[in-house]
Amino acid sequence: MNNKLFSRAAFALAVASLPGLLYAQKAGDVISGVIEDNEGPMMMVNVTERDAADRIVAHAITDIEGNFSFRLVNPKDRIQITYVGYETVDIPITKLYYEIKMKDQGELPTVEITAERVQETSGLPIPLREASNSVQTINMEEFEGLGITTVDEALQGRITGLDIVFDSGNLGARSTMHLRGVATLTGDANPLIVVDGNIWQVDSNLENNFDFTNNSQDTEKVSELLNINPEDIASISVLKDAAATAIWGARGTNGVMEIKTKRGSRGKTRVNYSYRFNGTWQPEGYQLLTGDEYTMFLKEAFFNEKLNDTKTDKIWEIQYDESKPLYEMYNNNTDWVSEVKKFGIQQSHNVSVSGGGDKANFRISAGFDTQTGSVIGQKMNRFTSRVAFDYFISDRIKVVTNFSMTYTKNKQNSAAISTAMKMMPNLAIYYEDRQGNPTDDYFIVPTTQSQELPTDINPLAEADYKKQYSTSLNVNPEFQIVYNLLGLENDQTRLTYDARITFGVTNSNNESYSPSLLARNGWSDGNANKKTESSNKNSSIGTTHSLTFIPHLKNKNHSFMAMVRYQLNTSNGKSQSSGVSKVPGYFESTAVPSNNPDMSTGANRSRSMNVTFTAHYSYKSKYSFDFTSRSDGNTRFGDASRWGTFPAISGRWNVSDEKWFDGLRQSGLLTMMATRLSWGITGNAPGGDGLFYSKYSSGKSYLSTSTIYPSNIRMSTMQWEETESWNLGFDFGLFKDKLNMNVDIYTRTTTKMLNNGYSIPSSSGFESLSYVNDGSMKNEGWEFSLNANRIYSAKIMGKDFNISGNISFADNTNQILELNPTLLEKMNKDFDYNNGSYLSYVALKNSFGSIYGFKYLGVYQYTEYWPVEVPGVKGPNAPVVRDENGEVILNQKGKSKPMKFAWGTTHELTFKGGDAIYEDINHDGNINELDIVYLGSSLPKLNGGFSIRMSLGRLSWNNQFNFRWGNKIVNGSRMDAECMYNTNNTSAAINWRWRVEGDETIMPRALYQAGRNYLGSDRYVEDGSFLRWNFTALNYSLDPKITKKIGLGGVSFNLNLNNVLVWTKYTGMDPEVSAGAGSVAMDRAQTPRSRQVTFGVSVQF
Amino acid sequence: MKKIKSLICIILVGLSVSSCEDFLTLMPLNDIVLENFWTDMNDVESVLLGSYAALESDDCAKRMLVWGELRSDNVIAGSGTPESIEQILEDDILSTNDYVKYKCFYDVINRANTVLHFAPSVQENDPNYSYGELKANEAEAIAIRSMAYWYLIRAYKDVPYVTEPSIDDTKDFFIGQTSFDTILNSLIRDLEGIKIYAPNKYPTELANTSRFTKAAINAMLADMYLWKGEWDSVINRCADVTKRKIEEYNEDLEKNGTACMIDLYNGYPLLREMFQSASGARMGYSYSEIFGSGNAFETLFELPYGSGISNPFVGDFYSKKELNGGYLKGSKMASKDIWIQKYDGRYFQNIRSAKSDDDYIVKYVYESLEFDLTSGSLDVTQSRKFKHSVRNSSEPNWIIYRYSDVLLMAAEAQVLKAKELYGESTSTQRDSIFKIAFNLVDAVNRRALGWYSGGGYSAADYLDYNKYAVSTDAMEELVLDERRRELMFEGKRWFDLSRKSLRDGNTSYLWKKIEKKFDSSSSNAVRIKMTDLNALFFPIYKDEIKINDKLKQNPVYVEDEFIKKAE
Repeated sequence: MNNKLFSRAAFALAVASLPGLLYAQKAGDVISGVIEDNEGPMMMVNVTERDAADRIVAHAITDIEGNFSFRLVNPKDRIQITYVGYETVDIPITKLYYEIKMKDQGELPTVEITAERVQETSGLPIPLREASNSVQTINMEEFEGLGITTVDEALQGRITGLDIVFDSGNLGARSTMHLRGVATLTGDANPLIVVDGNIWQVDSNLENNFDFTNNSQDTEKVSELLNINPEDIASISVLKDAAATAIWGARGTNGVMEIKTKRGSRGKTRVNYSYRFNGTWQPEGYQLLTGDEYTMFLKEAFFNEKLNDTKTDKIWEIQYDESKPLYEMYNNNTDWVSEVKKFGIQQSHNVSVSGGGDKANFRISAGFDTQTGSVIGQKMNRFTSRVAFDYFISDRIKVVTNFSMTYTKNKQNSAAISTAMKMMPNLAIYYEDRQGNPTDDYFIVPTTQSQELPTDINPLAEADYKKQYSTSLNVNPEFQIVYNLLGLENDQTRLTYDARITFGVTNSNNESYSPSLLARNGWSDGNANKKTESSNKNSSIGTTHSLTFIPHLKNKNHSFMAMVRYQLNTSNGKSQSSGVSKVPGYFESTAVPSNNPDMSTGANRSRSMNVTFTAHYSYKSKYSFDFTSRSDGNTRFGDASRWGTFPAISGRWNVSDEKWFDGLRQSGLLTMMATRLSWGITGNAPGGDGLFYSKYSSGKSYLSTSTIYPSNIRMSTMQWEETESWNLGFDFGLFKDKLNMNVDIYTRTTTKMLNNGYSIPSSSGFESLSYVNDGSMKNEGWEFSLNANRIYSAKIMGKDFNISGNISFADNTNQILELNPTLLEKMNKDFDYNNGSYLSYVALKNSFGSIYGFKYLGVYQYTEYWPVEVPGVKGPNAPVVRDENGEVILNQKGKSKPMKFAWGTTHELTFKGGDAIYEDINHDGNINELDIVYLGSSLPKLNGGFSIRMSLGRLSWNNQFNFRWGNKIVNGSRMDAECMYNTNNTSAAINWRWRVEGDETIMPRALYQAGRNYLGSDRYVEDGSFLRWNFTALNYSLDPKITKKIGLGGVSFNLNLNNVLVWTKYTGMDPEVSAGAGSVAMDRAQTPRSRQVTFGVSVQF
Repeated sequence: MKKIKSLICIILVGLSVSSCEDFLTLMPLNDIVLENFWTDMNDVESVLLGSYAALESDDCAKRMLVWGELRSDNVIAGSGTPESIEQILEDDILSTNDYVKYKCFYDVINRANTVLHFAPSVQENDPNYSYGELKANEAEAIAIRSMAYWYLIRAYKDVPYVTEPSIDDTKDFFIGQTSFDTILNSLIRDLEGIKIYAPNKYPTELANTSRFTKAAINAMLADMYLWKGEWDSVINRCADVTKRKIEEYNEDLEKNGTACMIDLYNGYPLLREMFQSASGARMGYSYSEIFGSGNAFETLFELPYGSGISNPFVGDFYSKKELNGGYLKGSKMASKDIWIQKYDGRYFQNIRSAKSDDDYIVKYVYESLEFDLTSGSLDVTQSRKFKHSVRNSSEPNWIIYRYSDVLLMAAEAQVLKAKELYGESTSTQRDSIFKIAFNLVDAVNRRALGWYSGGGYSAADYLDYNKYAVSTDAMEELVLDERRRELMFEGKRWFDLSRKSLRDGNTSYLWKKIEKKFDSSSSNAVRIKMTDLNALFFPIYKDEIKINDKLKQNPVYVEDEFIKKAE
């Protein structure tokens, strides 16, 4: 009470002391008052003075008695009083003291607000039903709770026409993504990634300039998507056709993946915490030989080479000779592969805080992952943070700032599995004493070991002692201002100016340290105590100005909107690498004094600018037209073709809006139908800057004077590679829109194809031009997708039960339409007579990816031919020449003729018993390139995926499958594991090999560094069809009534399995192998994709 | 608000970029570009030296040896010989052999063309760059380019002829061959036109033998005329060289007196072979000067190695520092047949027989030599009081023209001139020309036998004029044999044999010489192949033919294309 009295008195005093109380108000006057509702004074009510632009110029909050006061800025302004749940009061300033009664909103009549769903891309806000392009959008709620590190894991098989293949199962490994086939022969064909309207650029150009060759075996390309935490993603839209990607111009030629991140929204502050535990393990691989089987195999391989023992006798390591000092180290049965496998664990914590009010919305999130691989020696930590902040200065002006940061530290050990597969199984892991008991020291094969045997370093020792780290820090601040220049409401003409500036800083650092312990040759070894460090610094700045104009037309049948956008980007990069080796002792940096320092640096920079115009027109929302044109300017081109202009036109007809369609719709079967047609051209710039400059480099000195020479031919005629695409799409809504069906048919024709390394006659003084525009290529295909939303609903046990699902499949073929004959010649290599090589043959107008090779018919049983089998000596199945009817060809003396390989060349060879039988297609007694036939296509006839989601009350079950059908894969890893050509450990399948005359088998004999037993043949060409159960996920959220009691907003649990099952006839690690343009699908899988189980909990406060 | 203001500021800066073109013009950071180059005479000099450096590159220098020596009767396979080398030694040359790639010489040509293209504009802009200096640089560039073409046409006969630099991709790179004769004529025309501008000597001593002087250009011209068959021109160009050498000899004599170690042999100044060592009169001086120290009085043009630039082939192809075998060794014909005089020291300069079979090539490998031939015959097993020092095999220079080569070219031209004028009939006129030719050969031979003013062996040990003057063939053979003895393992022999065959219109002389290289099984096939004069030349590398349909393969090497790829 005292308080109240006091404040009232103070107020009265203040009022009394004001002169000119009765005069008109002026700036500096104190405006005051009291605010009440039906129940009395209201506390914490916002009282603001607003100017003509609705900016807040003065502000006060009511106290416990409902009093407020503030100093007036401008008498022309208004007072606005707001409180959640009450009607806003907005009155002009006419007096100094107000008594205001607030009205509860509930007393007002409800207002119906209709909002159309608009496309979630960074172009115009086009209503979805007027969208004439081909875009597929997925909301991340669909994937919530999945144990994924990067979004591509979740998208696999989910986006029609987007083919995602994981290069390996190592931590942080990059995936290859191809949208609607590969339309270029040069450069990266992965789609452009756009985050919140900004190109997500991890400049690969710099890495190309950079020499990682020293440790290329250990360094894999790290996924750029690693820098985006899936928890922060709101939606992903994949832009497929030229009309959709047109606003990205030359950058969007491989398709665009637009990611929108979550933002704050008005309401109570929400805190969300989620925890995920993820366990991963390696699938079962090939069964390999044991130590005993291995030594037997080697003895045969060395014997068969020359049919004598001399070589075998020299190699004591496979003799089990107890007199040798290292006998104990070579008498084991070690399963190296299981030694390097382990159960990998990932734990991730994510916290987000979001909320907002009248003035501002915000969302702050942070995530921390720590992950160990399913192979020893791999560990990855990632910290991500993202801040999104929207501040409304007034109705007209909004300021947005975004900030994101990712820090990744990855300890790599990518070669462990492949090394383990090659290791001699009779080798010991640790040094063993005379009794064969292991000591604590790892055994590293000595230099004195017979030179025929593998020299790989113990993978366990490598995992323990070799240090290979890559760290990266990625920071992206962004500022944006949005200014509504004209109307604010939908029924007014609107003009919006949007300016933003984006910074991107990426620092990455790779280091490795390999101690002398791992160097076989001791201190003379270049890898002894070798330390390398390399770092990349990249920074980019981009500015964007957009002006969007949406006129309000009196005739409601017409709607129109247009946008002009101007963008500028600059990027700079610097790289350096240093290395030292053979320095004694342990050390942490390459700065230690060394006799062999190694140092290199590089720098690059590039700039681009573009102007985009895009417009949308719709008549009655029934007929819609879009036009986009973008001009790109780029420092990668010289004056002549610096600017490229890429237009796109598209249209849509909502057939179901026609009057005559009403009947159909009422039948409930076909409720929506639309057709879309688009045309557009996109461009592609070559990789590499400064190609159009004539460059001079310094060469070797002459007479001790330094010299200079012209080092390139400048590309003054180089042009943009252009891809013209057509897309015809149909959208259907069936059964009262419960089923949505989309069909898209497209062709993409790439002309002026950029070919790099184009050979020119060396009489020019050079061997090749860096790029040449030549030839054209075509991708065509179709996509089909069906979405079923709550296709079945019922009440089970009093709870809602429903099923949703979707299915999609697609097909793409790729062919070269025209190409300079010499370039074509270059792609088609001659038969090289070597084991293991397949011919790829690219012919004009034929699809890519055809596999050519020999026909494998098994193994010759005998060396000597005899029409009737004499068991163990000779028989009919022997390497002799036969005619078309399979009859043996005899000469005048009645003798058979031996079967030859590459007769008359330096590769000539006569087949013997135990050698592979290749079909002599032309019956000339000579296995050569004329016997090579077509073995199948690497391209699937169909690929796609489907998902089924079921929910029962608060329990949901989500399953995702993907499949591929009708393609062939060359199983290169099986070939390596069965070749019996070297001394690496091999697959246990070779226990079935031919050993003595008369053996009937399909596995040839062991031959060390000899023979042609694994020529590229259909033996390794396998059916690559598969159906993969990508994941199954269970999600359960607790009853809100229960959570409320314990003071929580919501709690949900999820459990899921990734890579659950694969149904396939393919015998390799993983049937998911893609063929690049112009090559066959060859599986060289080293670390296969792991299987995962994830448990997660998410709590909302 | 402050933040907003600065934000607007940044946006305005973005907008205020005056010109798009300026914004989008970025020079590469890691290279020198044309726009910033060719501004002063140093740039010309740098690229000019770059052309020499290309000529000296591993690829070019190796091919000078491989093309000029390997198919000849001088060498056979040694130890560890790679397949590609072995194939050439055995005349089983495929168009896929690595050594038939010729890109490296076109690199030289392109660099020289670049100098010729840009140097005049530099001269216009750089006031310190005089017209005379420009012309001297042009003379060098033309000489370098001519030398590259000279190797190419002797190896391939017809090759693409390019005189413009490859600067940008608008140029037509797909060109066919120009004939041997057309190229040769234009090389001669170029060199004759520019040679007056070439310097007689350079400021530094080393450059006199490693950059083109007027004398070096004359030597190259003499060589070209010799192939062309213009005997008087050969004789005149050789006389020009002699004139210059006599000038130098006189200068040296003035400076050093008799200590200059140069003598006039039949009037031609040559380095002495015999010298006074600590242990008495010994042979080996001229070898040590020419092949050991380098930059010798007699050398007209050589590629300088050492100081960071290593000779790419001496260690691999000849002998290493340890004097054991390389890819090549001397053939029996080289190690026995042609050494007819017992005091011929050149035998010991070329070949070292460790065991009876190992005729290791030691030319260029020894840094200095001294030996005594006063006793005994040409038997290596005898003690010669032989002393040598061996150097790092990466250091020896590679000599392309030296004065004794020029003397023998003149001799060859004289003989052929006599043959052309007087045929086989003996006459005093012919005899007088033969005499000149013989004196040239004899000068070279005498020096090798240790003659010096005031010393040497008895007259009976030197060549006997009357023995050779009987016919033009005998004289021609004398010259060619002397060339072989003098220039053995210097990348000259195969070109000599080719030249002789082209002149004769048949390969019978050549076949007689190389026949013994082949065993009986392969010899017939090679002989038949060799009847075609095109077989004197190498095939064009397969990939070149593949990408450029205007190039014609040497008909001897056209393969049967019946093997087609499977479809």
